[in-house]
This record gives sequence, structure tokens and C-alpha cells, in this order.
Amino acid sequence: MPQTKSEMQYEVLQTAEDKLKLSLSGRMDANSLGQLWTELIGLVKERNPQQLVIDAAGITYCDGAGVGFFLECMHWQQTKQGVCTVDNLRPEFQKLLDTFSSLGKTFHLEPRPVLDVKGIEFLGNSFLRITESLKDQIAFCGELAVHLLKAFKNPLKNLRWADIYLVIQRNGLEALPIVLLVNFLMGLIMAFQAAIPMRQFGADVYVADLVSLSILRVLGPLMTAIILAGRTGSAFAAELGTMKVNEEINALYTMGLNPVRFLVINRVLAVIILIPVLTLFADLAGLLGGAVVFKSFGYPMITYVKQVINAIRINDFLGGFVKSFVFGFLIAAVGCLRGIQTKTGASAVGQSATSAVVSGLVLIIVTEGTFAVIYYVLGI
Amino acid sequence: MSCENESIINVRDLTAGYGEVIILDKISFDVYKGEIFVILGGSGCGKSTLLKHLIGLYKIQSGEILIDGKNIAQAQGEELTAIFNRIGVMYQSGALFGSMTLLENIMLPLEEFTQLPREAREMIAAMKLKLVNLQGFEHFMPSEISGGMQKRAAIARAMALDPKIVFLDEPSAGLDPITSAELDQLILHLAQNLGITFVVVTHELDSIFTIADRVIFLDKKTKGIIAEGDPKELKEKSKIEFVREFFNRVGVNGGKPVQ
Repeated sequence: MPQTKSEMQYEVLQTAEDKLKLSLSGRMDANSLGQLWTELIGLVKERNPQQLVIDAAGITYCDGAGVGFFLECMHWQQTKQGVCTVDNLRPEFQKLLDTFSSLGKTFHLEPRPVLDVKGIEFLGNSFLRITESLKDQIAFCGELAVHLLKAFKNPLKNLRWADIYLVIQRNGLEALPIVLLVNFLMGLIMAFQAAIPMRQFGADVYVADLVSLSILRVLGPLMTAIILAGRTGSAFAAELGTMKVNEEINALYTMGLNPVRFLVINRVLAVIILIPVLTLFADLAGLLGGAVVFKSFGYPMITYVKQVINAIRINDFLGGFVKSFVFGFLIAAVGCLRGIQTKTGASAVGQSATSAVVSGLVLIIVTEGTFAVIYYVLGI
Repeated sequence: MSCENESIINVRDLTAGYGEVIILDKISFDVYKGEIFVILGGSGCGKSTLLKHLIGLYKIQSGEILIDGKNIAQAQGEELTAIFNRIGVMYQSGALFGSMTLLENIMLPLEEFTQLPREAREMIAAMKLKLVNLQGFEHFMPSEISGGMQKRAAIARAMALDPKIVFLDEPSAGLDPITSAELDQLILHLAQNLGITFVVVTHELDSIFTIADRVIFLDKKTKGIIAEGDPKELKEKSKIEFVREFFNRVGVNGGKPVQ
């Protein structure tokens, strides 16, 4: 009885114990075979005939997928020392079958070779990779320092000020709203969370001291740096990464222009200029957040201002300010470095952007810790 | 090779351009089944624009384009997908997906548009790679093979779903003469043995004379077709001087150095 499914039909005739005849008709393309492939191949494998005859008289259309099916049957029969013949195929389809079968008997692939790396080898490889990357970073820092010094020798001539202004606008001015919002909420949340337990001891007036000290010394510069790592570091990496993929960086090299001088210096300088300004705004927004909570607890604003002025010294403010320069340098430099290190392909650009943010965040936290120790030792 | 009179692409009064700028003004032509059809013209005459309109990447301003009887300009959703499944496109750069191996690149359309089991998809993809002489490179990433190989792999990917028409955008751009000639032979082989219709944009004169059954010649000034026919005949007999110069590779001042 003919089996009907989609646009292709088949009929099975077991003419003898070891002889199977398969009558196919209709369209044999990737669509119709999609439903029947497993069924038909399964049937052939199950009956396991010595002689398989495929009668293709009824085939009205056959493409590469159809030919693939015939070749699969032939291959299977061959592995079982059996015979497979395709009869009555229309000449135009026979030509197609001949074209492909002349290319080879089988199209089965060796499985993809998997790199078998043993534990110790893996460790060694990782160590080499890390040292290699460290070497790159040190070399990059050196190159950056040299070009920065050169730039400062004659800032008007050696620096591309138009580019610097553009970077400041995109990464400073346009980042201001988010920096203000995050730091305002930071101050607000911290003041609110601290006020509840402190109130039980009648110490809620010291919320102002807590907020102002932590915002100015740590949170203002830190939050600004984190926002910039996400916003600017990734943008630099993606921008330079795309340039690398498009061979623009190679073009600079071969024109005799150093990519670090041309692309990195202006970005690093711009971020060093903009980040302290952003940090200043961040500090103010944080203090304002604290003030809102303070006011809602029924204290007059003058009390908050006096508490803040009493609590902080100029060193607290300057300490945060100095840190922000270092943060800015690290974020911009690591973003540019990852961009320049981009390999080929679209996914490489994504990896560079991710790596720029991750490295940026790690560097920020490590620097924060280092500064905490230094300030403690110096008594700042 | 070509079955005359049975057309597979019909372009009628096609006007195309970008915004206010019109690049092609009311052009009409047919492409016949099984032929290798080449779009020619000087730089900036709209060859690539025409190709991108033919494959439905850009919206046409007026006129119609019928691909195998279906109007690609008005098709949407599933109808458009059905047309796309019947055509294959090789982009100038190859445009292979860099994150996938060659085999995976070719298996992708089979995976998305058919219900074939994995081993069948793998086998068909391997067949197509063998057809373009890339056996042994199935598990390579596009970045690990040469430019010529990338183009061949891109042709294999364009043929994954056994399309009736394959569009090639400058197949020999950036290839050495030998690789370029090999690619021409491959295109001829595919057209003759698989009955695929090819629409090719190219500048390479050698390629044109080897593969083209018919060419159209676009012109920047008139924004239309100034010549159509067999390139060998056009080279000798075209009434238009520019066309003869193009085929005979005559430059400014008759190709002689300017005094």
C-alpha cells in the first residue's frame, strides 16, 4: 500500500528474502525528505537486504537532498557488502546524481577533532597565556607613557584636540545624567538604611557624617568609575576593535602612524580630564541624596550642612579626587588595549568589549584597595 | 546551456535609488533559465544597486521584479522567505559567519528550513563543500582559510537549499588570476550540471568572456541599459563606442600614454 506523506510517496516491495524494492514518487527535495529521511533509512537498515533496488520512475523532481538520500542508501549497502541500484531516474536527475557520485563514494565526515589537553598541560598553557597578556599590558603601558610625554612636550601640535573634545562630550557630558542619578540614589539609600538603626541610639544626626565621609572618600569616585567602565571602557574597546577588524589600525601602521599615539592618547587624556569633573558632580549628588533623607527626618538643612562641614576635611575630598584620575587612566587604557588586541570576526569585538569592562572593574577594585592602604599609612 | 524563452527573472520598468537620488531609471530585462547572466558597467553605474534590489535587500521605487514568477518587491513574511529559499547569494566578502565552521555555515539554512535529521544535514552540507572542492576543510573556521576558499565556501552556502538562482557579487574581486579562473570553471560546472541560473556582477573581462551567456551593460549617464547580448558579439559589433572600449580594455586616449 502506498505511504502518503507530504509531496513524496513510497512503496515497499519485499520481492525475496534478501531483496528489497523501494518505489519512490513525487518531489524529492529537502522539504519532503525532511519527514521521510529517517523513516526510509531506518527501513533499509532494519530489513538489511542484500540487494536494494530503488525505482525512481515516479520522481518528478529531485535536488541535492534527493541525491543525498540515494548516496546514503548506496553507502549503507556498500558497508554491508550489499548492492544498491537506482533505476528509471529521469535523465536530468541522473545527471545530478552522477555529478555528485563522481565526487566520491561517501560524504560521511570524520568527527571534529577535539583538542585533548591534559590537566598539567592546561595549567602550563594558562600560565603562558597570563604571562603573555601581562607582557602585552606592560609594553602597552610603556608605549602609552612615552607617547603621553611626547604629547606634553608640544601639546598644541602633538595632540588632536578636536578628537579630545568629542570624547569628553560623548563620555563626560552625556554621562552626567546617569552619574548624577546613581550617586543621588546612592546617598539617599545609604542615609536611609543607616538612619533607621542609628535612630534607635539617638544618633541619627550623625547620618550626615557617615554619608559625607563615605561618598567623598570612596563611593563618589568608585561609582563614577564603575559607570565609566561600563559606558566608556566598552565603547573604546568596541570602537577600536571594529577598526582592527576593518584593518583600519593596520592602515595606520603602514602609513607610519602609531595607533597608540593616534587613537589611544586622545582617549586616555580625555577621560583623565573628564573623570574628576564627573566625580565632583557625583559627590554633590550623593550629598544631596543624604540631605533629602536628613530633611525628611525633621532636621533643618543648616544642621546637615554644619554636620557635613565638621565631619570632612579637605584631605577626604582630595583623596577621592586623586583616586579618580587613576581610575580614569586605567579605564581608558584598558578599554583601548582590549580594542587593539581584538582578533578577527564580529564575535571578537564583543569579547573585547566584555573583557574591557571586566578588566576595568577588577582594576578599579584593586586600585581602590591599594589606595585605602596607602591613605591609612599616610594618615589621610 | 540556456533554454531560450523560458525566463526566470523578469524586471519591468524598475526605478531604483536612494532617497531623492535615482540610480536606475525604468530598466527592463529578462534572465532565462539556466543561463549565466552578467551585469556590467563602469564604476558607480548601479550594478550593486541593481543586484541588491533583485535580491530584495532594498525597496524599489517603482516597477516590478519577478523572481520565478513571484514579485519580490511586494512579498512579505512567509512568502518572502519562500522566495529567499529559492535564491542563493554570494556576497563580495563571502560574508561567512565567523563564529561557525564551514560545515555549520552550510548546515544553518538546512537546519532552519527543513526537518532533515542531523546526519542528513551534515551529509548534504559535506556534499556541497565537496562540490566546490573544499573537502577536508569542513571543520575549519572561515578565518582559517584563504580568500578564494572563502568565496567557494560562500557559493556552497548559497547552494545549501538547492536554489534555482544564485546571485554572485564580484566573485573574482581580490583573487589571483588562477584562483579566479578556477572559480569561473566552478560556476560553469554548476550551471551546466545542476542547471542553476547565475546572475553575476563582475568587472573581470576574462571572467565575462569565459562564463557569460548574456550580459547587460548599465550606463551612469542614461541610468539605463545601453547594451544587451552576447559579450563576444558586443565586443566586435556594438554600436556604442564605450561598450566596445570596455570589452577591448581601451582607456583614455586610446590606452596610449598621455603626451
